[in-house]
Amino acid sequence: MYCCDKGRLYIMVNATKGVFISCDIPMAQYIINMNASMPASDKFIIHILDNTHMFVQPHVEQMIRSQIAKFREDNTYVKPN
Amino acid sequence: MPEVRIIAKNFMDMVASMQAMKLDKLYENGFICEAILRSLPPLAKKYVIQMLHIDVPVAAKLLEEWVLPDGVSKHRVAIDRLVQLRVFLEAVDRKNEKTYKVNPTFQRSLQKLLVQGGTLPRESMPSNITVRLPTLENLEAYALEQWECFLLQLISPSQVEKPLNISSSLMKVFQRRILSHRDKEAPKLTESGFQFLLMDTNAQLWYIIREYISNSEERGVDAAELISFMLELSFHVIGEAYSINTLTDFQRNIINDLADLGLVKLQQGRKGSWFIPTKLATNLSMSLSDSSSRKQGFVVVETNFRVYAYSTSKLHCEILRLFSRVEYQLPNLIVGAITKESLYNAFENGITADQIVSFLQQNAHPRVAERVPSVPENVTDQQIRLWEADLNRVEMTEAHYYDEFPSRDVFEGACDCAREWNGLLWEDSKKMHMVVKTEAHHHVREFLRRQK
Repeated sequence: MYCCDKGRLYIMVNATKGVFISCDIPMAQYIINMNASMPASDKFIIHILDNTHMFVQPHVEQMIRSQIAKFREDNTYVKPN
Repeated sequence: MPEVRIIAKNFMDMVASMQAMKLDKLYENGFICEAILRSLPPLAKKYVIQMLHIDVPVAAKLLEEWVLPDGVSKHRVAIDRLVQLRVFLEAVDRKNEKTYKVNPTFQRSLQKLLVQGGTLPRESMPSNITVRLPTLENLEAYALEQWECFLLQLISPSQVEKPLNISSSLMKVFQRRILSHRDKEAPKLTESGFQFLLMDTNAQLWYIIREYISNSEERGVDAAELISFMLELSFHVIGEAYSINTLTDFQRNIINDLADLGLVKLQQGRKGSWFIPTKLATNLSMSLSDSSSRKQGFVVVETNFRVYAYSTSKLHCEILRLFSRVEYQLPNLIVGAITKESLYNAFENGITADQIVSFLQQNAHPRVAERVPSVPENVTDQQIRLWEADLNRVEMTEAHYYDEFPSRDVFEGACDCAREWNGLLWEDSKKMHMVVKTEAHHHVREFLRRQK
């Protein structure tokens, strides 16, 4: 994509701001599933890069972390006292 | 986990970082010169003694000839240390060659010390005046008790039965990086605070003394005089009584502060009052690596995750509470367990698994210390470290996603630019897309702007 300005040619590369996520395969699947279950306006994954990396909207870090923490706690057995 | 560490460096490093003029003034004191000499690496000590009575500068090349070829790196280390401490002064002679000469002030003081012998500015008091002098064991127990009381007061003042006399402003200086003071909440330990508690006594002592000295300038006390007095103190004999009357007012104030920390014990008799240096005081001139004063360990960790600590100290109980669930306290034993909740609590407070494991290993009870490993590996590797890793499964970095490159050359160039700034997180050469850290985004954008 090229654009002209006062006779000079500029290169227009597209740059999108967001958050790069790196994790293991099961966790990646969990995040993709979380994304799929959200309503269209709240979907946060911009690109799925490979099975351990993805690029998501900015400002969702805290939400993802708290969901993962809840998932971890749901899967934890605590001996009843 | 963030890498926040309290670096407890020793006196010598602090001395080395002082300005040249102050350092020269410090060297007027023979004891400081002796302390510095003791702290030097062996080769450096040899050089100083060899050059002690030489008044002219000596060519650096000549010094290099004193070492065999495989000692060249040790030679470099020794020379660097000597120049850093301004014991050796570097100069360039008429032939433009590097020369070294011993610092004249240092030289004079050390020569005087060698010839006249080192006498302390005070002698120990005669035994007919000093009654009720504590035995060495009692003195060591006293020092340890004072130090623990001080630490307890540092981290949770409410738990102390007999508060020490340290002024609250001085306490605040010590607490500066260890506690976070928020207006309506009780002060909480910071990450540095947790790490401080898990260090061994020598390292903790250095930290406190370093804060005390750096604060002295703010209080209008000359740091050089303070360091000078402390080093002098470290040459006194443990267990001997020295009269308070031999101290200046300045020194008396310092002794009072040091008594609260357990470095000296103050006593009063009918005919006078005196102070007795403890092991903590003489440790001041030692380097951190000389931890010959290994205190006895007290913790036993079993494969069922239970922790048994043979101690009566409230401080030890507080430290164990940092990462384990303390269940009950018996007259000589603290019983607890390492649980997921207690560890998660510790991790949230910034303590790493490595710190917990090394605390348990360093303080292992003599009964289990001989065993290899001293702390069962099902506790350390398979649980503590695993739980820590479980908390960190996802790594998130703020970044920019680049696509729609006009040509492969521009793409490769941008990738290289990002790599140079350590910001390339991911790339796909086939599709010509890449992800760059936000910190490096500015540089990549500049690079792209310069392309035509």
